[in-house]
Order: sequence, then C-alpha cells, then structure tokens
Amino acid sequence: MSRPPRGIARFDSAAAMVQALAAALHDKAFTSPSQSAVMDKLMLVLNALPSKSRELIYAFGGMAEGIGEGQARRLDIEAISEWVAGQYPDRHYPAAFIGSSNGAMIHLAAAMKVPWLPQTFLCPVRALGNDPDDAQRAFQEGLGTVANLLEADARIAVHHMHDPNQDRLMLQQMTYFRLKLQRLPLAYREFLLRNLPRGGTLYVNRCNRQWPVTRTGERSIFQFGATGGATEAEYFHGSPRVAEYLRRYNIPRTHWEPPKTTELSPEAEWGFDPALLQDLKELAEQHQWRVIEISYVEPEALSVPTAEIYRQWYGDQEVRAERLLVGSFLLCDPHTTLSLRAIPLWLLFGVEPSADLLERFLAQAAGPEEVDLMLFSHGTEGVGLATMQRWRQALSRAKGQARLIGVDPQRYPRDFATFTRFAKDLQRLKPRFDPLPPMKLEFFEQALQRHGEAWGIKLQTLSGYEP
Amino acid sequence: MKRSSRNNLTWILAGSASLCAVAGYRIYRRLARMPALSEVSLQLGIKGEYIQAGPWRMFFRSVGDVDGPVVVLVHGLVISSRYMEPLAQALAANGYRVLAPDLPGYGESVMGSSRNSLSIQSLSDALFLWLTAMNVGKASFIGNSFGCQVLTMLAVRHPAVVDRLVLQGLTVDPEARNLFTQISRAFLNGRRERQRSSADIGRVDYAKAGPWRALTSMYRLIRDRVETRLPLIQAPCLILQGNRDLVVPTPWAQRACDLLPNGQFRLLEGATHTMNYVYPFSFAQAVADFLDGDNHSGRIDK
Repeated sequence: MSRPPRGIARFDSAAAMVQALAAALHDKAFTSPSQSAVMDKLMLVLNALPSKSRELIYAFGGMAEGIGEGQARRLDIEAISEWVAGQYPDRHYPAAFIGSSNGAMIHLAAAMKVPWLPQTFLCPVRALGNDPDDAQRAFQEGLGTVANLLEADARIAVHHMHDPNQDRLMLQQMTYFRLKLQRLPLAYREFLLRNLPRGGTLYVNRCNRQWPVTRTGERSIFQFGATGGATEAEYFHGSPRVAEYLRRYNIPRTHWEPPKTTELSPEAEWGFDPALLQDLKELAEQHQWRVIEISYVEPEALSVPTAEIYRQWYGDQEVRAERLLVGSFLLCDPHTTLSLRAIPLWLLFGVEPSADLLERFLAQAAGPEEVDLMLFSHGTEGVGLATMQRWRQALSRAKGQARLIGVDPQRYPRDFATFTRFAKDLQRLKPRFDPLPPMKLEFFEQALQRHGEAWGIKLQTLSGYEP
Repeated sequence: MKRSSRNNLTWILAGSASLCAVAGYRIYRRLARMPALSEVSLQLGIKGEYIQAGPWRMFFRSVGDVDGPVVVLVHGLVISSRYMEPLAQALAANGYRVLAPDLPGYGESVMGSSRNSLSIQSLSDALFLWLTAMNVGKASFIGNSFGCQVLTMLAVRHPAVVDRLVLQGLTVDPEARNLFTQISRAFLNGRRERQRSSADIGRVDYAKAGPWRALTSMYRLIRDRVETRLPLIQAPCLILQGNRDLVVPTPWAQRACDLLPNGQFRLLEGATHTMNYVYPFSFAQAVADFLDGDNHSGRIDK
C-alpha cells in the first residue's frame, strides 16, 4: 500500500474504505488507516496525554493531511484517482462497484472479491484561526478555495462542508471540501477497461441522502452540518441539545446561524451525484457491461441487509456464523471479518441512531453468539454522540459474549489510539478459517433484493439485461 | 584539521567513490543484459523475433490475430518497444495484428558501434527496410514522442507504406527547442506518471543503448524540425494529445494538426506523455474509430 498523494485525506471514509477493501482483495487485513508505522506509534503515545493535550495534538496532527489554499488550484485529480485504482490488484473481475462510500458495501464487495471506486473524497485545506461555530465566516472564507478547486479540474463538484458538531477539532485549523467526480477520471476508466471484461457488471452504489445546502456556483455548494447524531433542524434552528453542547464547549451561542439554504443536494460525504452516470453508461455500452444501480437513502440502509446476506451466504455453505463484527465509520476490516466467518454490521458513526440500529439488530436477529464492537473516535462530544454507557446498553442485548475492540472506554471519544489498537485486537480473535469461494453475482443481487426491500433498497438496470 | 586526518578523509572519499562506481557499473551491466521478453510479456502472448532488414538485424515484438489488420508501434527516444507492450496488448484485444520493432541502436536491435545513433532519416529508412523484410505492404502506424518524428519522416519518404498515422506526444515543441527544457519537462511529466511509471523499462533501454547513443539521440531530437514535414504528409493522420502531457503542450499539438493536410485532433482528458504505457486501454479506445475507418489496407502480404 502506498501513501496517498496530496489532497486526499487518509482519515476519511473514501480513502480508508478503499484501503480496507484493497487489503481484502490482496488477502490481507486492514491494519492502519494512516499507512504510517510512525503515526501509529504516536497515536499510542498521544492517548497517554490529558484530554485537552490529546485534542490539541490530534487537531494539529490532522493539519498534516491538509493542503494550502494555493495548492488547491494545482490539485491533481488524476493522481488521486490513480492512487485509488492502484490499491487494487490488477486482474479480471466479474464486477466492480463505483459510487458512494459505504462500509456495508465494502463487505459485500470483499465477499464477491471485486473492487470499488469512490465518487467522493475529502480534500482538507489548511485554514488557521477558524471559528468552527461561525458558519457565515466559514462560508465566506471558503469561497476562494472553492474557486481554486473548481479551476483545478472541470470534472469535479466541490462541496464545502462545515460541521461544528462532529468536526470541531479539525475545523479550528482546516476547511473540509468533499470533491465529487462528475465525470470519470482517466485512471478509473483505464482501471475498468483493464480489469472488467466484456459482459462484466458495474454496480453503481447510489446513496440518495440529501441535505439542505447553499449553492455557490454551477459546480459548488456549501453544506452546513452533516449526517450523524444531530438532525437537520438542530443544525439550522438549534435545540436544547445544541444549546447544551455549545455551553459545554464554552461557546457564547445558543445555536448556529448558517447561510440561507437554496436547495437540497446530495449529501457531501455519502450522497451520490448522478452527473457521473452519463460517462458510466457510455463506457458500459461500448464494452457491453451491465450497469446495475443500487439505490437507497440513509447510508446505514445497507447495513442490516448486508448482515442478512452474509448470514444467508454462510448458511448456504453450511458455515455456522457465531460472531457479529460491528464496524464503525472507517474502522472495518472485511478480510478479518471473512476469515473469522463473522457477520459484518457497519455503523455510520458512534452516534445514537447507530447505537439504536445495533440494539434493534441484536434484539431482533436470531443472533450470533458473540459480538465485537469497534468505535470510531473523532474527539468531540457532539450532539447525538452515544455515550459509552449507551453502547454498553446496546451490547447487553447480545445473546452471547460482547466485547469492545480496540476501544479504551475511559478515553472515548478521544481515544485516538483506537486507529491502531482495533487491528491488534482483531488479530487476536480466533478461530480463523480458509477463504470461501467468492460470493456469486446472481446470489448477491437476489439476496439484496430480498433483504433490502424492507430498507428501501432498489436495484435498477441502467444498461444491459435485468438482474 | 591535521594532515593525517585530511589524508584519511581523502582515502575514505576516494574508496567510497570507487565502490559507488563499481556498484553503478554492475547495475548498468545487469540492466543491459536484461532479456528482451519478461514473464509478463510471455503471459500476454507477446512474441519476440529478429529479422534481417537490409544491413540491420532488427528485433520486434508481435501479438494478436495474424490475419488482423496490421498496426505498427514505433517507440520514443532511446527507449524500445518494451514499453509498447501494454498498448500492443490492448490493440490486439481489439482484433489487430500488432508489430513493434526496436529501431537500430535501441533495445535489442544492436548496432555495430556503441556510440553512434542513426539520423531520423536513416531510422525511417530502416523502418521501411524492416517493413519490406516483414512483407508488410501497407500498415497503420502509431508513434509516441520521438517515434512520431521517425514516422513523419517515413510518411514523407515512403508514403506508399503508410495507410494512416497516429501521432501521440509529437516532439519537439518548436517553442522549447533546447535540451534543458525538454529534460525538465520529461522529469515533471515523469512525476505525474509515477503511480504507473515506465521508468524501470527506461533504465533497461538506456543501459542497452548506452550513454553516448542516448546523448546523440537527444541531440537529433532537438535539431529535427518536424513542423517542416507535416504539410507534406498525405496519409490520414490523427494527433492524439493528453491534456496533462507536460512534454508536449496542447497548443503545439493543435498547431501540428493544423499543419497536416489530412489531420484530425483528439484530446484525451487526464492523459500524460507516455500514454501508451500509462493508459493503454484508453489509448486503444481513443484511436479505435480512426483505425477502424474505411479502406483499412494494412495487411501482411502472403
């Protein structure tokens, strides 16, 4: 695995999930989102510090991921796309996924042994002295960088994303830009032409989650807030929870005052921008690929169906799955999940809706006996973050033993060593099994239709014959 | 510093330099002896053969349907047909018989002298002799970089063998006719291609050609005024340009197309100078319409 080029954040859904899936396709575990042994060791040291120092160093450490405002004009989308595509082994695949980031989807892709090319990635830009809670100022000050990014490549849409609830630590010295590919970069095109033979299938992973945004140009948008623990209404109009959160962080506000929204748009991190479909359809027609669109609204809509598909797949092969491995945001390891014969359940973040999902799943499912839970730490006790007590309560529904994987309960959600420890804890889990034959495409499509119906998942053929 | 310490330092530096020189020479020799075909080449079904073409014993790679239309790939400066293998594979998958010779003095086509390089005119004549030896009456040609300069010369001197031409990364930009600019542009372009770099292949071919031939070839590339030949080419010609090609600026490629009596221009968004190696399948797709046009008469005469 090589380090990504400048302009793409490693501690983000797209980059980390690509690396996790690529590791699985290389028959390896995903051990380090940072891809840096030095940084992994520093995380362990960092965890020993008091919480304020931890927050400070984590925030400034994150700056290393950022680029300068001037560099944004020279951002090389092809280099980033080449890095993404270059993570996967070159060989003929029966199918490939492309589109929205999703932790459940990468488990499905790993079972089928096929790659996924993300549409969206995070480009953090350094901006010292930011006030995370001043949305108007962030909006105005981000416009220059937006113009630079738009100039860098005509094939991207720029979503300036400002979320003081979940990204508070990083926003003090960085601005987040989610870049969505509206046209297929040459590196993706080349990867598909090289590895997807005629008759292959292209699965478009389409998350239809939208968010109220302020349009700043034909290809640019400002998004205040994001999918997670707080509701849209809380971001835009405030609530007792927001007031309490701001008071807890000594912010002299009771609510935020974001710019007036103009429309609904695909959510910056998870939403799919349909502009990409035109290139995909054209290429698919030239090379006789089937294009199947898998659409749903909430990012977590795929989570339970994926668990059920795994359960059915294991069952068909007379494999008894005795473990549920619960991932959290970018903490997921498809290879280890498969080698443990575990059922994956991916959760969006460490937020209350995710804890509710886990609790409901454990209460209703016939249930594996053991449950192992990873928890992503972003350093902020934001609105809607589930407490450690809430997670323990959810885990108490497990039929058998339940454990935290790589989590230091005392330090959560400032438990930054979890990015290193999760892999070590996972490696200790036993027993391990030989790889299963890849999940067949026909089985996947039928099982997804069957288990996804209740979650609003739709399969639609955009090109080629019906599934 | 005492005299004895200075002496010791001198000996240490001299010894280190000698060791580096020996190690460098050993690497150079190892690269120069690298076999023509790699394991990957063989897995792709690429064959390598020699044929006598006039005074030259020329090596060439071939792949694809023996009855398919012939496409000849011509390599760039100092490098050889080795880096054409990915494009050859992609074109062969589209039904072509792909032939890629090493021009005399490069790759496996060894010349008598280790220093001299042939002029562009002599290289085009050698290519013509090779086509004759191969019984190729007429073919489509694809050149990369310096290979385009050779092909334009072939199209002017031996127009009967040229069915159509694809010129990708046509050197040399008349606005940058100096070695320093060309080398710095190639370096920056190489940085853009580092994720799928052909640098390893380049090292092998530079070692096979030798440093003196490399230098004289660069001199010939710089001196050649390809723009004077373009108006004389009657065959249909496609200028394929990558918008991230730092060696050949797009305005020059467009100007070159304007100079051609029968020219077409196609811009491949995102592509760099060594497009044949980095984006071979997209390359093959971009030229498919042009190569598949009516009256394709490239065949091996039997």
